[in-house]
Amino acid sequence: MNRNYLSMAGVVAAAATLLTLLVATTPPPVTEELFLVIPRGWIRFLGGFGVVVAALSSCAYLYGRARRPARAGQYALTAGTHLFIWLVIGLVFYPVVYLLSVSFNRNNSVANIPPKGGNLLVRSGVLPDPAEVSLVQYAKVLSDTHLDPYQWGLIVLATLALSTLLGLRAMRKRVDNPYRLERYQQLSAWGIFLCLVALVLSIQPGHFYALNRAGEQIPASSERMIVLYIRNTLLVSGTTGLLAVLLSTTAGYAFARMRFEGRYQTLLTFVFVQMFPSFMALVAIFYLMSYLDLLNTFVGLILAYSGAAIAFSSWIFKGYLESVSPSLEEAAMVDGATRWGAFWRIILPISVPMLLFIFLLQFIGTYSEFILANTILIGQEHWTVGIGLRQFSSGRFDTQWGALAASAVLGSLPILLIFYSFQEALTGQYTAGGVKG
Amino acid sequence: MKKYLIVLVTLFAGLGLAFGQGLTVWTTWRDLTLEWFQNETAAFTEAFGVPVEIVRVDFAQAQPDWLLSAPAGEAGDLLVGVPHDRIGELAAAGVAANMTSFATADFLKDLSEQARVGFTIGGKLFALPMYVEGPALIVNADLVPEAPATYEELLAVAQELTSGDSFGFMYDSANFYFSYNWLHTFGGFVFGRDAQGDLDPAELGLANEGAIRGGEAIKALRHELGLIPAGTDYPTVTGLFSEGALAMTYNGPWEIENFRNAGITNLKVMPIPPLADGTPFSGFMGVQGVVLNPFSKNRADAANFTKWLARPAAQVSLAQLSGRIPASGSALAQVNDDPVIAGFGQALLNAEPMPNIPEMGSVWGPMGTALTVILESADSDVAGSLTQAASEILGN
Amino acid sequence: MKAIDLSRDAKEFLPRAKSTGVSLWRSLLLLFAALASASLMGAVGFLVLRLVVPTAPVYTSLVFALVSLVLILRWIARAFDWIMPWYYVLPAIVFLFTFTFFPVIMTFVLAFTDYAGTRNGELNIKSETRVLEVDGVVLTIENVRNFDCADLRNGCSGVRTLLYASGNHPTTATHLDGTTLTLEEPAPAGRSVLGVELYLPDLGFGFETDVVAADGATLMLERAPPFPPDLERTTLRLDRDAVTRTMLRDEGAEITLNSPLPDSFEVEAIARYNDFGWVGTGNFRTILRQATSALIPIFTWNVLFAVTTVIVNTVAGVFLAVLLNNPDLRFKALYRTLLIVPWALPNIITLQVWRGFLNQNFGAVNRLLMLFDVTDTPINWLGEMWPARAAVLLVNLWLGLPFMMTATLGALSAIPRELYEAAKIDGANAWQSFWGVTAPLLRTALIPITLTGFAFNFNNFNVIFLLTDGGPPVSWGTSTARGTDILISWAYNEAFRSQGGLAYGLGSAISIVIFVITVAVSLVNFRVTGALREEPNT
Repeated sequence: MNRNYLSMAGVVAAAATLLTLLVATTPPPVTEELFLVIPRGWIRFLGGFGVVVAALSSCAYLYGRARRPARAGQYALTAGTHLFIWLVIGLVFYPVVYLLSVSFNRNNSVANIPPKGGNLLVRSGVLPDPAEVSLVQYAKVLSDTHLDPYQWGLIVLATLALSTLLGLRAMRKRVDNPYRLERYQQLSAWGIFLCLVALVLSIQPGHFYALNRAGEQIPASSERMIVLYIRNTLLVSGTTGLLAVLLSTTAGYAFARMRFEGRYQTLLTFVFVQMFPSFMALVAIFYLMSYLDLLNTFVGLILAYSGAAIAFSSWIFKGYLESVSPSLEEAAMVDGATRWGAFWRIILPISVPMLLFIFLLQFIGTYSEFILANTILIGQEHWTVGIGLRQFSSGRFDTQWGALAASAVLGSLPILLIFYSFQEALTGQYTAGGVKG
Repeated sequence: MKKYLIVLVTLFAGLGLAFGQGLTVWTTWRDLTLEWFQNETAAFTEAFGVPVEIVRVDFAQAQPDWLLSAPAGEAGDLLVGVPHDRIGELAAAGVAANMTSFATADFLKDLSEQARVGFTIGGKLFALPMYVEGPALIVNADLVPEAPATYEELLAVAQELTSGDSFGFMYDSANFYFSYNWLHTFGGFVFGRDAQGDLDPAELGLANEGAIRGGEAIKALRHELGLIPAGTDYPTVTGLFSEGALAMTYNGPWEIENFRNAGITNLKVMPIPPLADGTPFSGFMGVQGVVLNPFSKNRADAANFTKWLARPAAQVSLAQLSGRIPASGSALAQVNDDPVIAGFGQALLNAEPMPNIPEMGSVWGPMGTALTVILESADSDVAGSLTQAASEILGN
Repeated sequence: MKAIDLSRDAKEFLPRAKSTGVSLWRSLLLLFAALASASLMGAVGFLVLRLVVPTAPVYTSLVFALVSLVLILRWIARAFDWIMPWYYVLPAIVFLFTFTFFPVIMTFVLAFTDYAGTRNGELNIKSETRVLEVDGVVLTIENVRNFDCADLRNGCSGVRTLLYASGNHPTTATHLDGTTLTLEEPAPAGRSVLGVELYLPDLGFGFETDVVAADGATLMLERAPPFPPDLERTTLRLDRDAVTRTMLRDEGAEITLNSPLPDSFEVEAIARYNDFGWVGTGNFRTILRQATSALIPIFTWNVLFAVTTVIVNTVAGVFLAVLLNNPDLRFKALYRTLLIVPWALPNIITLQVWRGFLNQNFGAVNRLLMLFDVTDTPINWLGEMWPARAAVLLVNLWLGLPFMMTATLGALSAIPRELYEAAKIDGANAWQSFWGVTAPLLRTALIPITLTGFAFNFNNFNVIFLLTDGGPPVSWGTSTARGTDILISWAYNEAFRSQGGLAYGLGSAISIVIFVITVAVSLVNFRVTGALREEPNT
């Protein structure tokens, strides 16, 4: 038996003893008005954390000395790093976890006196009471959503396609020839996409109703239409993203590859116009849309978003193309392709990741916008997630936390899924330095 | 190309035909009030043969949207669910029609005086009232079996009940909407009235002796009496009351359903008991009503629908369905057997409608600041804070 | 196929031949002509369509314009082939011009007017008052306060007014048969009857309907009353015969008009318009007047906020990224995936959730701090200025950390490993190689990112609006400029939320100030990064 392993056991035992001592000597928490307080709790917390760090690092050091003595210090450092990163992850995730637990909580308010018994974290109100766990908040915000059977079918289909995709992705590492799987992956991705498009297009305000005491259908309350708001937002954000891609690629191409009088001036205009805080032009946009009869329509909102989206996207696409060697186009043009042909057949296909990036950027950007949306879209059937969530806290006095949390979780899901599905496409552009300025 | 054009033209023509003659109505109501509204809409369509389309809008966003949309011809024919303190601005901007001619003598005689005053500016009525609302003393009768008879008694009972994490009497004291009750009862007021009975924005009573006494009384609730802990805000109060940890609060009818759902069923609603000298407490109240769009293209039907909604029979069914307190006296008499409605009705007898002139808009901000500063510490300068707020209000 | 020399500089491939030296103005003129004629075609097409389908929406003109634009452009391309590059930019230009540039210009114009929610050019219905006496061009009115022009820029002078006769005429009807109403006596001569109000005892209200045709005492109604009316109480709604005049001046209850009223005109009431107009630099002067209560403190905090947030986020992001960049660290991908979750969640949702965490009594943050006895009393995160500012920075760190971390990781991965190897051979330890190799290379990569971050956070409306809503109110501030308000939230409050005003003009003026600052910051950015440093016209 290596001496190092013995020492490790000693370190662990010592740390455990220290921690037990620390916990045992902690005075019982006292109540101060609405709060539970462990006197000098922070000293104990820091002490405990220090003990854990020290113990883990020394264990890693000893382990390293046993395996590769020269890098033992590195081992200790890495162990400390892991612990620190987990602490950061804990802090980053605390709000997310809390949001989830509020959404699964029976109470519609965060302003509750924590229960007298149970876990210290629960008693102090640091975490919501698990005894109150229930699905009522979700039931509430979803109860008036009545989808047609075929829409449920679409949802099931999309879920199946998603699990296939995830399964294939997991299999990729174990299969000898991953390229054979690629076709199926693409197929299921398209399946998900088409199902979602069909869902977004087919969900209508008519699917949201409640029954009154007399058993008649009455339109659902504005708090119970989150699914419609998500659908609206996906429609608006998706179309805005598409429009941005559609209109900015040619412009970005011209800026990057062509030289003509006025190019620089136009470029400057593009760059600086989008610096104006666009929602401050709200009144002008309102009258423009009113004049065009586009008020309270999604088209109006999409057009209002498109201006800024196009300027920014053209700028990014120009930057991207400048980092791409023009040799391929040149070759094609030498072979007799027209400039448009070169753009269409050569540039567009190789730019797909960048176009995806532009699309996602606009998609995510418009998802969180609510000032313009709030003015252009008036009736509740047209609300987006942003407006729909604001209503929970813009009541005259209070905030309905439970319903807000449940709606927030539902409203975040699409964007979370999209973000992580395309994580590489999105963060990759930043990591690769493809985006300047 | 031509083929596409023809398709386009027919498409738009089809869209055009889909627009029928009828009314478009914006409403800020939801849940029970919306359900009632839909019933009334259906009944109106059946009786008058006028189709009505309901557009549900956000309460907070309704006013700015209406201000922009009405002149542009984009707003509904009616805006249903307008709080009366918004009416001055809507009328001044020319987006609320003069409805004086709608109100017959019978209707006015039956109408709550405050509701009439609330929607009247310069002797003209700019909305038809539907219901009144305002805060009253809400008592958890399980904790306070015998209601206090005077304000002093209320404070004594509250102090007795306040210990650790149980509380006797709390309200959202940094909120001018609620705290005005104290400022007003002790002698303050927002705007005075001129000889013609119109509000005079130049005569401000928020820093006079009475208001300062009221301010001291609010401060005493936190610091001297220790009833209201630091950082108390609206959710704190409602949360504690829902938990059964708070015995008495000062709040409006809109919270009753939440309290009941939280299990606080043994509720009593009454006015805050009077001061020792018999002065009754009188705070703010609100009136909700229907505004007619002066740019309406179908004005006669819009007017008919407004009147239909404001008739006493409609207010009775509204009260029965959603617990709102009718603005019409005869309607209130018909639903007085509900103790909560009756309690609020009684508390609102002495209440004062919030001023409805646009100048009120510049009162909330400075007064909120003043109350926050007053409540902040035990040695805060009540008179100084109120004077500063008053000068900011007048300066704006 | 000709071999391509890949070693040539990219710029050499640029098609210089297409740069024919055709001046910018000729290109623009041609494009403008194309757009203008397309718009004209759109308008004509729309008007023709309106003749056929009266309810056709205005946006159909856009469709017509688009179709004609395509046709016109094809023709132009044949005649002037040097215009081609512009065609690539044109779709973007058209959208940008219509939906961004045009509203922005409108907003610039608004900044020099006193346009507001209640100064919107419409008739001020509240101001309606009775006219007591008419003497030539001088009128005496009843209610001076309701009429008053105090909130208009020049008082009453130059303001339009509407003068009208009464519209309501009580009368008695004798007979109603379906939609035919017979009056006891005909309507007043010379006035047309627009509508009728019939009192319905069943409802307690008058039923209103329009009059389709009138013949003496017989009126054809548009709609029959749904319940039997009380014909004794019939009211005619007559044409109000309104005339418009402009006021020259007002003295107390006496108003002087620019021209006398028509002879036969029986004026009963007067109302004024909410006229708005040019105020020159008035809005900017208002901003300067609020220098101590709004502009300076808000600007200072705005800069402080943007600078601090960038510094804090960068330091934290670099620290995390350097940790994660350790080649010996396992689970790197997992950590990265987990740590970017705040970026993946829409901030409109997470910010509202944070607002709940920061509640003084029940928020999780204070619960945690109190449990570990970090503070003696719960911190009033949203109710006191400095805690609120700290909260904004804290939450912005949470929101911005993933981006900074990812960007730094990107920059780190671009640093060649050989440099570290070389440093190691030279005997540098980890600390020395960080400051000697990593830091200088990171700095060049991070400067543009931090500058962009500064510009972004300088106008980070969502964080302020959704987290603290600009609050808390402070004693030095105003009701629109509060403890954590930054310039853009102040502008928003002035324009859309100051309940008494909705001062669009003032809000626009503040936006211009913001715009100028943002452009200045960006110019510095471009100067440093060289993003725009290229040959202007080649």
